[in-house]
Amino acid sequence: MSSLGPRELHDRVYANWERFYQEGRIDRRTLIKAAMVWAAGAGAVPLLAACGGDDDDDDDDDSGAAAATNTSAPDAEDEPTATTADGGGDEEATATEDSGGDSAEGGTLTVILSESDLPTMDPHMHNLRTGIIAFYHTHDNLGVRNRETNLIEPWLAESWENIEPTVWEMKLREGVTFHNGDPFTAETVKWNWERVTNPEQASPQVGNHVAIAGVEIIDDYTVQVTTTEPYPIFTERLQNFQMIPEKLAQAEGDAYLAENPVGTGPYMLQEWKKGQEIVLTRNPDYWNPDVNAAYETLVLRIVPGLPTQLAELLAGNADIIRVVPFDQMETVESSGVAMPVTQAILRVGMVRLDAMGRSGPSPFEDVRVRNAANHAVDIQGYIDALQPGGDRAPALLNPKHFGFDPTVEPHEYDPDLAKQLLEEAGYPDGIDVTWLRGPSSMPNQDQVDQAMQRDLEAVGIRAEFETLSDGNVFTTRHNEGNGGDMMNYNWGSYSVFDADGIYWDMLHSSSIFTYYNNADLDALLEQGRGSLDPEERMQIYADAQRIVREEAPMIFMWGFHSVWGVNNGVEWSPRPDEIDMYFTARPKS
Amino acid sequence: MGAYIANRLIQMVIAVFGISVIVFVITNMIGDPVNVLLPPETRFEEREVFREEMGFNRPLIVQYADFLSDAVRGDFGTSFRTERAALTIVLERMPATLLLTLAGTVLAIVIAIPMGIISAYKRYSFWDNLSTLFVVAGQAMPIFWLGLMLIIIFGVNLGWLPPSGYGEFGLDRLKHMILPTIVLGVFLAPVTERLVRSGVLDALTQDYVRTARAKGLKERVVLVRHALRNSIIPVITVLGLQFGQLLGGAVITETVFAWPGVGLLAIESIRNADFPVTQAAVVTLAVIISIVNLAVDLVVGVLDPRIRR
Repeated sequence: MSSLGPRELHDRVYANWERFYQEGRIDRRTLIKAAMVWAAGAGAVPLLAACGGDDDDDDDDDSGAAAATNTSAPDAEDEPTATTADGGGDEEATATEDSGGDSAEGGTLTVILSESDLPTMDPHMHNLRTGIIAFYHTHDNLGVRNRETNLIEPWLAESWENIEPTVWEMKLREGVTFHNGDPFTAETVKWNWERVTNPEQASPQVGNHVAIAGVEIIDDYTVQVTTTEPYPIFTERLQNFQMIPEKLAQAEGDAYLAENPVGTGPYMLQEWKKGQEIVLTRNPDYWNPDVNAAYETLVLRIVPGLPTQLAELLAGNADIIRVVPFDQMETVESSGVAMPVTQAILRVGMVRLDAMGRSGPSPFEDVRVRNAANHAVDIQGYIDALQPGGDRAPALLNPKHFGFDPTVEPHEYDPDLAKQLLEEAGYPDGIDVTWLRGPSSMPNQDQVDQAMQRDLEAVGIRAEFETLSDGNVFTTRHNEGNGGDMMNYNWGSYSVFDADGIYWDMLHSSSIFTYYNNADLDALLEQGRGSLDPEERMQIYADAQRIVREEAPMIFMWGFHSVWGVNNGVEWSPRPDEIDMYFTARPKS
Repeated sequence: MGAYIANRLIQMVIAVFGISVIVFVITNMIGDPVNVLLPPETRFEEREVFREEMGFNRPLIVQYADFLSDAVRGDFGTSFRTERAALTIVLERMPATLLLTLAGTVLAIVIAIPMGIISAYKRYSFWDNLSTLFVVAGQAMPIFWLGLMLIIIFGVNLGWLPPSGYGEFGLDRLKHMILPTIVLGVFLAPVTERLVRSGVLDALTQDYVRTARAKGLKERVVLVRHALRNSIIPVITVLGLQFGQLLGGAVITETVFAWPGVGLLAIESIRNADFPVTQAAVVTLAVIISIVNLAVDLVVGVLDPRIRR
């Protein structure tokens, strides 16, 4: 978790660029390019400050005044997207917008949700994070993750208990009603699970629920859920699974649900302007007093293109944007309008090595070569220079995964050892390998790859880039076993904060994603998946991490960071699971 | 005239047919729809079963024949992503695109014609040089760059105009339109301005202009009624031809300004490998471009009887 300010970040990154050049890890062109980018950034800042400085002060003053006005007439705000339209003068327009965000009882929070619109308003018929985020506002889940402990806590469920290895008994909250007045009951839970697992429904989320065998209604507010086997990550299935009202759904059908998100959530749909924005309005009868959403209206805007998103943030039109490129953090901070907010997330990066020759014979089938690759790269150096605050993942697990063992030592940066290992493996002259790269998945991806390529070359691992711009082609190549010797990859663990969420898919020999095959590890992962005892599982995954660390089926990297941009008038924090909850946002006093 | 129109209509059908082939082949080359439609953890065998169910395993030519026979009836299939009719989605977005391209064209004409006349009339003067500078700059600036610069200057630094979006109907919409319209106008104006300039220059040396002047007509009348009118035909033709480019420019402009038009829809659908929508969008745009060009040729025919034959 980074506590670096953008200024420090800037200095550190810049110094490291020079060092990388001195050490011959990046070429001159890259250095000059980087210097130009930084210079442009630094140049743009005074420009922005000079032109925007006065406005910012005005904004602050105005918004204070306007906030007072709004508080006195909280319900006067009739137009959710009022934004700049109604302000007569242009500068007042911005102030009006800001002030909207500042009022305690009414006001509008404008969030840029995504670059492209949601395909549907049916929470079971998509597999997008942006959809999950939107439906956390209109709907509710049985459980929700605590952002401090990363554990799932009761939400629409009041409690749950594992009464038999494969049976979970769950008590449900009473007195919760959907936006249309339908009650939330045991019948709702049973119907929702049956819907999402019904093959004819063809929900893209069915994979999350394969271990759910059935749901039995005990009474109106009690259900028993049976799993196909002992299922330690059962509670993970209670989140990202939104409840929809069964009676309405049966009466109106799927086409209706695709347009009308009726849930129990803290916000209700007011209007979906396709391709533009989703306008939500606060649910006045929300069951959970702890939530107490501060903004009357929540606008989730669709804006393609990160530069435009950034411009909207800096213009004060957007209160929150979900992606701020690392090299723009300083621009945001010095704008006086918004701040960059950094949060470490669960997603882990790696360079996958073809340890089983799945895409043809590979030198990486030899464990010594794989370890040589890990010793050849200066992971900590890249983190310091290019990914400040990144959490190392010495055996692929992010420290946020349940089961992470902090005593597992990461590979040391040791080029001599790497050379020696290569020699022992029978490659005194080094090896030539392919390295498949896809669309950038983290900040500074190209720079990291290039630095790594140089470091590998220094010990004799000569990797040739093949870069694909199409994410689908890239994923298909990977999943169909044509990824080649080396391949960039990263894994979000389906937001499951458990070792099983990443080890199974990346390393179990039955997974379509894996380029590694080890019966011992398979056995451990199966044990881990079948055990319900947390301590036993900790031990199982500790053992598994030692195998993975030694076997090095990938070049281990780090847990990613994301950077959000938040307007200075808004108090809000992102979460490590990247499920933004805008109902927690408050105007700054 | 009737034969002329019929001839042009046949040409149009052939052109749209050709475009439908190209777009169909290309969309099928850029990605595997199975990967879009199924979650990533789906096993290989399940994928193959699904591929067969959906008919994606059939030869491309058979799939194309199906596509074409439905498309001529206005059925481009259902969006993979939203499960709504692809053509409906495209038509929903069409007004935004037409509004923007129309505004861009008007602005381009408003800039180009006066500027071209002045340039021609005061050749090598300060104003001529200034307009040359504008033409060079307008041609040299990438459209997305200009868009971003306008956003930074007028949307962020000065805060005069909304940086992006479509706005509410009315004054708000007009405000949102200004920046993207400028981008498109600046993109389209230079070529038009050059044509007006050279056309008027040419006309000014003609006998009929000398005659008009000799008759003692006012310079303004000579310029507008005689010189400009006779040099406007190639300008109209080129405006028609450029309409296609303009829609291409609208794709970029719409993306930069989050303008919810067909161009943005096309980009989104390509990104999501939502083939039916991509195909519907491209074919619809092709039809519109063909119709505009046909209309332009007819207008020119009316203006200049020599062409009709």
